[in-house]
Amino acid sequence: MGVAYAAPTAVFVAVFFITPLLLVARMSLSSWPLLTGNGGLNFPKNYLSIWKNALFGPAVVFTIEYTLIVTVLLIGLGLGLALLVQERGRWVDMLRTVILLPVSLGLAAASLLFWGFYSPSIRPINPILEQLGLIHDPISFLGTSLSALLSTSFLIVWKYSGLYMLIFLVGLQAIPDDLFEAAALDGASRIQVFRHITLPLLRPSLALALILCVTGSLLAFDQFYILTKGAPDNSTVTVVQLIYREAFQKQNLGTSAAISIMVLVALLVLNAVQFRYLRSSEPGLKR
Amino acid sequence: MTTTRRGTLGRTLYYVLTGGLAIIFLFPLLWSLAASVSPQASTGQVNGFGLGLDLTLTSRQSVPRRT
Repeated sequence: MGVAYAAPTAVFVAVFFITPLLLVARMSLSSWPLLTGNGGLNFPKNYLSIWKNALFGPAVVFTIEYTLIVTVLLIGLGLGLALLVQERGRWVDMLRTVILLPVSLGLAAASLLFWGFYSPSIRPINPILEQLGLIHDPISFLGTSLSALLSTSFLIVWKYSGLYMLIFLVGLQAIPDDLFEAAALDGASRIQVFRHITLPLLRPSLALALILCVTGSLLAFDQFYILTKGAPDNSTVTVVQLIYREAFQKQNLGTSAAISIMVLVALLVLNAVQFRYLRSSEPGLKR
Repeated sequence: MTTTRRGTLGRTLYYVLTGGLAIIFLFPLLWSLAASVSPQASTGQVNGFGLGLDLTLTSRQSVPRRT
């Protein structure tokens, strides 16, 4: 009977997850031009050619930099916002809605919106900053590698901090009030309460947020494709953009699949390490 | 500083901070709304409102279907 219940899910997983994965694995071992199809076994040339690709190293470094910046900002801001809006009230309810609004926007739509924002020809920000006397010369938001990285990170933080706020808000609401009341009776300060009660009990939410954020950032594509297309001078090419370029510009599905498999393995290892670390230090968990 | 005064200051700071956050989160959306009713697309024209963009959209032809 149990098998019958599990069968639909098993079929779904097999068709939509395992089969494409096996196809990509096979592709990564083959010479597979986009237009002519499978050209036979090519192992290990696809994997070796990745290391010869001049863009691979910089793309990996850039993706890691982007992941670090976005993860720190999103988790910090998400937690801060959750703490800020955890008490209910009319103003707080409105604020929660406002912060959550960008989450409802698609990433491509949000990227296009910010492209207009940052664009030198449309540029609503520079005139405002000039009028406020904050800048004298227009800022080139996407002109340099660093400014493009920060501008794109800002877009992602703007778009997703509401989601992380929601994750932390759910975690905060799951903490029993008794603990806070006991801490108040014991004369604990706000910082002590945060450090010894809130933070340890938020660990499951932190784990979820960390895994979502790191995985999402390492797989970043849309925002850079729309905002920078790798410019300036290929300095903002992410690993997934490299996969896209190999597949659809160089028309080499074999190498593209090989990079995909490497990214998949890296993500599996990273998530396993994160899970292990966060579970092993979970309070009260006996192993 | 008395408790009441500290409370008022704290509340003011809270409203300034959350008000600033609300502006940061709302501004891009409001700007896109305003830009969507600007008279002409991609001209930098900022005065006045119009439905030029929507008319441009409606005048676009759909891709003919293969029969």
